[in-house]
Amino acid sequence: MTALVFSMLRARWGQALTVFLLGVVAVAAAVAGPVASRAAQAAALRLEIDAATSQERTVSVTTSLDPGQDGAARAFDNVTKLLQLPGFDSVRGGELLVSGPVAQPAEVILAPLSRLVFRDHLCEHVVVLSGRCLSGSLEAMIGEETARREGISAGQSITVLARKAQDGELVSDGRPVQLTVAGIYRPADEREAYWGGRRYFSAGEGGTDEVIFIAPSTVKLVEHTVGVATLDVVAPAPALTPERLAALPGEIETMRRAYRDSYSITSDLPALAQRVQTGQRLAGQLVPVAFLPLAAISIFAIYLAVGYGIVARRHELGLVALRGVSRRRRWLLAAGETALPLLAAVPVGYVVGHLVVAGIADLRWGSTQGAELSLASLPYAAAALAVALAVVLLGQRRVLAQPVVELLRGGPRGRAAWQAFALEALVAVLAVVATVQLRLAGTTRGGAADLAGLGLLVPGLLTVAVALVASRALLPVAGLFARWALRTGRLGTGLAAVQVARRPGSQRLFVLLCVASAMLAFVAAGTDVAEQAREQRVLVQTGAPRVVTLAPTDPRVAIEATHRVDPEGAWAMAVTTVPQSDPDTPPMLAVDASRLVSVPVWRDEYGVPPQEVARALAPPQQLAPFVLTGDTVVVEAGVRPEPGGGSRAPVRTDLELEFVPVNGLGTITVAFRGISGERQRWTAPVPGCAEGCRLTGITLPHLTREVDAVTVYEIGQLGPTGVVAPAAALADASRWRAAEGTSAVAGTGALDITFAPGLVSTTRLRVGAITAPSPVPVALAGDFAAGAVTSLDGQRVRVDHRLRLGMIPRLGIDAVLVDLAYLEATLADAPSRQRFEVWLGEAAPPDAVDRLRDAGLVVLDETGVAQTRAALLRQGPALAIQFHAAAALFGVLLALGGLGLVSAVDRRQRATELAALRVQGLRRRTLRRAALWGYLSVVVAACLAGLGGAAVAWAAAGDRLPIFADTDTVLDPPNWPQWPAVVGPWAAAGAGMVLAATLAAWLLRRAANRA
Amino acid sequence: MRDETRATAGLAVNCRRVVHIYRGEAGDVVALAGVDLSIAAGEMIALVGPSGSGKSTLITLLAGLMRPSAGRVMIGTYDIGKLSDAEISRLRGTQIGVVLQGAARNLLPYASLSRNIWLAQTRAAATKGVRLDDPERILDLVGLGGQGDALVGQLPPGARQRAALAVGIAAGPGLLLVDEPTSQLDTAGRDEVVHALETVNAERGTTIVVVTHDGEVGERLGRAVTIRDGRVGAEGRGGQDFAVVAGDGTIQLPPEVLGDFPPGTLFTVDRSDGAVTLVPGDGDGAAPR
Repeated sequence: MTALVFSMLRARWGQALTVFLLGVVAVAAAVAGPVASRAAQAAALRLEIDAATSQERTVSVTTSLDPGQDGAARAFDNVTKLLQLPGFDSVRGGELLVSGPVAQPAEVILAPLSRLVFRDHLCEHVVVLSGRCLSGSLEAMIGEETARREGISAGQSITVLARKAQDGELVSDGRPVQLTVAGIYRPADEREAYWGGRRYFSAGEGGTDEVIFIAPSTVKLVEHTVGVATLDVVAPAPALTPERLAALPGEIETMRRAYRDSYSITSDLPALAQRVQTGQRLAGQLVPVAFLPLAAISIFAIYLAVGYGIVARRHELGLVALRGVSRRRRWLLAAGETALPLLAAVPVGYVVGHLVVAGIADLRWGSTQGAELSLASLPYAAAALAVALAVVLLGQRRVLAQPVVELLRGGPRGRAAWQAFALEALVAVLAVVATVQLRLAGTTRGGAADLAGLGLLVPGLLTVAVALVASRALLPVAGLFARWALRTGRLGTGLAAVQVARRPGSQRLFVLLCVASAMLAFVAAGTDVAEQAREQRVLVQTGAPRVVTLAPTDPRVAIEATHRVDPEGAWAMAVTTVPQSDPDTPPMLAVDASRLVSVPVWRDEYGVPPQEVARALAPPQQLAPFVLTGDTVVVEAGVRPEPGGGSRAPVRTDLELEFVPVNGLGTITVAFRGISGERQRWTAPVPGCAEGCRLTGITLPHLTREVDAVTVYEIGQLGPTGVVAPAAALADASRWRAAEGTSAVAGTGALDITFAPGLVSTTRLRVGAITAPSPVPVALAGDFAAGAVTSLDGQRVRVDHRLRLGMIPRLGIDAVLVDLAYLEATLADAPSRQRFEVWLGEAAPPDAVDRLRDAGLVVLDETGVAQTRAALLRQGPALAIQFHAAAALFGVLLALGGLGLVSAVDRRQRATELAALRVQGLRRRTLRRAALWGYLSVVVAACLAGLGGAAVAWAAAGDRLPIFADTDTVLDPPNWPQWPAVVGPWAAAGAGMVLAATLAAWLLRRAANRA
Repeated sequence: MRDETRATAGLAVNCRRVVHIYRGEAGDVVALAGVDLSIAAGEMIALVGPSGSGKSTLITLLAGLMRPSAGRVMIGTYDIGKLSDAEISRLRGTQIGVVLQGAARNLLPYASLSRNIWLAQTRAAATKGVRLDDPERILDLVGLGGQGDALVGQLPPGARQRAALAVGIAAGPGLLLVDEPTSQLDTAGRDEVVHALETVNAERGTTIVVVTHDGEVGERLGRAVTIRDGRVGAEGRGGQDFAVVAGDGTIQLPPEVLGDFPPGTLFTVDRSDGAVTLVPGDGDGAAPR
């Protein structure tokens, strides 16, 4: 029996090779799914970890430094015992806040702030530019920026003075100490994980300068009472396996709770873990979606090949039955010829599947991790083989069940069996059920629906269902056309239509071509929509080509600095997101609206041109500020005691006036301590206002209930003498805005400041001197309708809805946009320090960030469109779509192979028929048409139906396919692709099929001419 | 004449009023309209008749490939109409050999002659008590000794037909059905094939039924049964032609007689001295012309 089967294989090696190749593809596709899933997950992990900042890979522990101890030797004894994170590197260190370094000891009191820092293994991580690294006590290494600014060199002596915060001020924390500069350093890699994300080189959030490194032994030699000990536990990339990443957040939280009284434990690892796990989960869900249809197509192609082969062997099978060979042997003979190539295909397909995935992974991500050859995917290969063998048996079952006499006569086969109809109905039902399940599943904006279960197969099932339904119409339509064409004398196309209507495999070939075409179109649509969504998110949520993040500062500093570095307003714009206290208020973006035209990336989705937005938000004629130009401020004020207070002693309180330099930065607070009496004049010196200082507010910092009100009658100046805020202005309510808890009554020829009614918990009252009228003009996106928002000072301010936009840059479809300067001009209280950004436009020079630093801004980070785009491309969905594209391409190649198979099987008989017609006078041109359209008609119909199938699948499932791994998107991603992005690849695949059909037709003509 | 002393291993064939109707979309076609035929075990007969007379249908029924629409077909003691498909398949694998028209249609083109014979023997080989000749012996029997490794495409036409015969007798059947074994053969080839058939019949006692258009083949086989219009019309034995009375009493006139007396002609039947005379009349009591 085996010898006979091998004889069959030798005799029909072409079909055997075809089945072998199809088997290889089927097994490779079945195996590639899980392998690609593993590779995508590994890539998601690796790319995210590679891109993770050192902060994200660090667990940072901070505690108080014992002044008497040598460095942090004992500070972390307990923690290091319990912070058992295998594979992590630990770096101990500590910090003291100091002023300095200065060359002259006398200047240390007024020197800028810095930090004395010590860290384990420091010398391995800095580049010594001059001098040498630390080797002992009382030595220091200073940064190159500090050395240049202070004119300090190696070997020189410097003085530092420990500082500490006390009652809201920085005071000395010991005596000055002299250190010897051992060397000048630059960090080897500022972003490496060793530094634990601590900002030693771009200054800290407290506004401190580049740090000074010392040895641990120096700590106790620097007089101080307050210091910080640090422990950074840094995860090298290999230590962050999926299992460790999953367990780490829990371990960190446990430690945090256990040691919250002793240590401050912070880490961004949980966020990294969450991002990685989400990306991996999505990659694991999405990647198999690509390969299931490909495996199904290849199995179908096997069914096609087996079906054709078995038809060609009908007489042979009849002959074997005629000899009385048992049923079992007949099945073995029939199946063996196909089963052996399939069995041989398994190991080859297994390896090919791994190699293909490895190739794609290496090409896209530079690593084949996850795609290594292993036995893990054997069950999938076995399943593919089992399905293929089942398909083989199914394909030959109908023929083998035919009576022997019909097999011998080669008579017509029975009509399509009810089983085929039942299978098609089953596919249609599955497609509908899966679609319903998918539509009912929850979805997050830009994230994934739950794709578990049948929903995973929706696109494939729908395209197959459409193909099957369309194929039902193929034969009747071809038959009708054939009758019409022959009746009207169109012989060529008529013969072609007859061939299509009567060729046994026309429907199956149609389904194969249709599904491949549909798959490609669907993937092209998905790729385009994902690309659109990513680009939209990148440009909208980044806001500008480059974005510089600053340390917390106040709005005037941000605006002044950007105006100084870019006076024309061509490339720099100060921006901040103002936190809202009301949860119903959408987030608010405050921008320097005068630069809206030149700096941000302006999208059509915003709906209004930037010029119009800037005009709507720009402050009108501002109210004239109250400007002090003297060296002394005079305030005429009175304190009205609470009636019935009962105290005979005069009631006293403090009053503060706040000024900001007109042409500078910083805040000058002039305090009047213990004012009292009905109406008296009080003076206080104000240094540094010769060029003008603008009054920003009046504060009563410690008002008690003994005081009914404080009345300000006039604010003036001396040196030179003048009026800063006359009585009329003080009495003008439009010039003042009371903070929460404060009541400011203007209009009695003075400004009365008192407690707001009903409020009993505060002692600090504040009135802002505003230079722009309320309400504040805003632009809106979304449904927000309220009349007030939270401003930069944390106070509610009334707003005027001037414009409606489709989207707000950065914040998306539900947000508020306001002019930063206008907001700053209407503050009731001092602005809280918050994170600002400077958006840099296309025209920004390469050294823009350095210019911002030179302007006094503390730059924490820089990102931009390119980095955001790269981050999105690292996410699971973006990784998965690449496998989808490869699988769709393979599907088209399979379809071309199927077309070749059908034409090869057809050729002999068809050539004989056409040759016979030629002898009877059929013209060459007619023969050409008959040959060509016999295949071309099926190709064209299948491609058109495929496009329709893709449209149906997209309409049902397109908006449920995930594009992003996170839910941080504030936009609704586009739902529909741009048609050229779909039609292009679809047409290219169609062109390939047309080419294959043309080649098949040429081979048929040649065979007919030779017959 | 057949040698009466030879041991008979063949199967007898009996057809009683066998009717077969093909049912098709264009209508029913009566292929056999009541065939009565008896073939003795070990006998060799030829079935002759014009195209469409029902010869191939009859041989198909004898092979068990179809069941008769009516009547009875007995192969030995087996009633074909009452056997299941599996039983008929087993019968074809052990007792009935079939040689299809066109020698190449009987052989797997990619397998050697020995392999083809082996395949045909698989069913019989699995049956208890059956002793089979090895393929080389069978090839000797049909005059193809030593060509066991040859493929059918390598053989001349006459040899191909004998190879088909070899496959047909491979399982040692009691009944061998052969369809047009000498078509497209020259005289020498025909003689080889007929000689092979005679050898098989002589050595094994196999009952052989041959469908043929060739009258000489019929003469050499000794008995030729003419099938006409789905019935047994005449028989030739020992060089003499006989009309055959069918089971329903009808008799078919030879074609040359039918030309003078078309259907509808009335005869009186006179029987005397052991002979039957048919006298045409006009149906009104008048004396025969």
